[in-house]
Amino acid sequence: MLSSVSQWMRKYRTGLLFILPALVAIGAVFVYPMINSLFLSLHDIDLTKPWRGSIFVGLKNYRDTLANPAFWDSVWRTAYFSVASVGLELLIGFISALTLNETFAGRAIVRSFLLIPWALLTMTNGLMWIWIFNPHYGMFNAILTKLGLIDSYRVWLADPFWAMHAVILADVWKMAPFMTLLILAGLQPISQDVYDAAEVDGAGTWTKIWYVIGPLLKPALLVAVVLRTMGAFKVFDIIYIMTSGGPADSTKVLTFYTYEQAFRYYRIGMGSAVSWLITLVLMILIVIYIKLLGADVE
Amino acid sequence: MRVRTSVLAVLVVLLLACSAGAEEITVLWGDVLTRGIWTEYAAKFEKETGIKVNAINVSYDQRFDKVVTSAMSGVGSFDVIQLDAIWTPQFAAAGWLWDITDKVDPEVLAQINPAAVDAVTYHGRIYGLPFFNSAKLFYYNEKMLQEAGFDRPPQTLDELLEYAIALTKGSGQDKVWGTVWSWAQDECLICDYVALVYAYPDGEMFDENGRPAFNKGGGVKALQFMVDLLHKYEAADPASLTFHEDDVNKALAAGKAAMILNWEGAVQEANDPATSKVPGQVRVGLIPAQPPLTSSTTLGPEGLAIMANAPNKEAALKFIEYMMDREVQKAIFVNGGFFPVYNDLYNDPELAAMVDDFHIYGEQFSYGHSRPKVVEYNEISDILQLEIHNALLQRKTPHQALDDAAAKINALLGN
Repeated sequence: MLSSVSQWMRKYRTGLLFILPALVAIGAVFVYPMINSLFLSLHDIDLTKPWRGSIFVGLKNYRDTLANPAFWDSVWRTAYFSVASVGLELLIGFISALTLNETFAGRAIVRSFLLIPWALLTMTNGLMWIWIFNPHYGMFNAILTKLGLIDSYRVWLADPFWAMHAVILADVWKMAPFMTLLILAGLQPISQDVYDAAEVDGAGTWTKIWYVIGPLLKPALLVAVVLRTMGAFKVFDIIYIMTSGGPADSTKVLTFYTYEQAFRYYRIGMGSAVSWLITLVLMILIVIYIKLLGADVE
Repeated sequence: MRVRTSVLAVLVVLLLACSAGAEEITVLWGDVLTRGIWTEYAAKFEKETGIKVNAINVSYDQRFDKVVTSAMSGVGSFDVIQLDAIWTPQFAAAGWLWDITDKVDPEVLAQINPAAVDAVTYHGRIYGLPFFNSAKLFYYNEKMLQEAGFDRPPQTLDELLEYAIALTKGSGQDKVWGTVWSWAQDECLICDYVALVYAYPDGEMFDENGRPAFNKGGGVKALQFMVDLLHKYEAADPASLTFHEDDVNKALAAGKAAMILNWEGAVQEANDPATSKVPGQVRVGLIPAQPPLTSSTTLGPEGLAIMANAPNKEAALKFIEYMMDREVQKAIFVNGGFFPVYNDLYNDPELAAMVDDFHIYGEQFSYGHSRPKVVEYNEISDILQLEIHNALLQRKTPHQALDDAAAKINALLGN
């Protein structure tokens, strides 16, 4: 039984020395900035008025943010974006994973093509979708006209409603493969016996999916949904490139609000507070997910 | 032991040799509309002085982000930055720019256009050297105007409207718009709006006390004009709401726009057979304004400034002095279309012979107006961008939108 810390450290000295560089790196790049940012969020700092220095204001930044309607508008937009994106990605991911789990000729090729959207840089993806939605030459307009769904070309990105959905579509197109991959991985350990047993018991396709495969996939789904929700909440690049937050703020999500406070209005304390609020929301979401999906994993 | 010492000695010598090498500066700018001419002169500077120039080209927004990041982090990534007039108050107040007031020759400055000097000045101190003068100009496709029966460009806003309606024709892929604008929710929107506000005799952005004045008189009329062009007369391309300045130039060069407002360089791009579908058809003119005014425009001069955390300040100073040299300024104008900062160059017969409608460029400046020179400019601009968009999308009336913007700005400034 080790009776003191120094004894413990002596015993594991070699191990500790080995992980020391990694610990220093994590400390410098993660732990220190996190603590510093929390510290900053409790101060009023305006970089354009350096003579004021940083003034301690306690939770004022948090209170002011929560009282700002622009903040809440961003929150609802971000929530809408996240729910729509993750929902669509889950649907597409699930269907394509089930399909790719079947054996068919050329499956390996299809699986590799699947990853191409995900491999694109977000900036490239954004630029591509700007062209697709181009009001004069865009493919989106062309296809919808040919299908007879619209009678004249529209400026999608200039419409507050459609701009948000255009951005969602661009993001879903890129990230759905990621979901497919995670769910496909989750399907692998499920042996053929499970499917056979279900069929013997007279289960149809839908029953098989919902009552048999679904529950077995819960761990994989949990990982996929948590990762994608965090990603969706942090969305910035695709919107920056496609709409710059417009038209009329309709795609201005939380990350934009934070970016503006810190880097355009130079209120570092306020920016830090908003970042911490986002982090808190994400942590709450993750706890909810774990409770919902992780609880009854056998 | 002996082997190790000799290896050490070699390494030390190598190290010393490397550090005693040429001086180097990093320059952050956007040499795109100027089509590489700045970089050419940076190379000439390198040849003449031996100071190596590492020039980095980025877009306007990226430039802002990179400068702010470098300044906030304290890492001296750049020596020289291209500084927009609206950034000077913020950066200077934050202490991010090197104050070079004592290193500048006042006699040279006296020869330079006051707006260009003003762009690099804050509270009487100078934070950079003027690099180019800049204002929004009026560009039109002369052939299209003539075919529609107009033998001269519009001179008043009423004429602009009349022309725009007549010049909007066709449909589908062949549609040509009378006017195309840069009305994306970004700084470009404010630049267009300011030019239009001052095109009315009773228009101004802020009054003498620094309080918003755009929600009355010309300010409201300008926004109403924009809304009507879009929705009532359908003489402005609705895609303008997603366009930045580059997109507008592309529309002109593609023959899809008859008249546009833009910064310098549009004629060069639109008349270049390599990039344009309408080479030789585009001319520059004065932005129309309501009588008794002749014209109106937004100023956007830029300078070359040295960061306070620059690694090589003295070398950087030499560089920015070089780029402000008279001959370099002339060459940049002729090849890139960007305006020189020296007043007398606008009367230079040599330049007049080389550039069509040369007198217009100088004349347009005399009708120029600056955007507010306050540290809170970014937030003021963002508030205005949102409300102007609300009006352009017909979610609010122009008067309501501008009143809301004025209220928010007053709250921000503590009025």
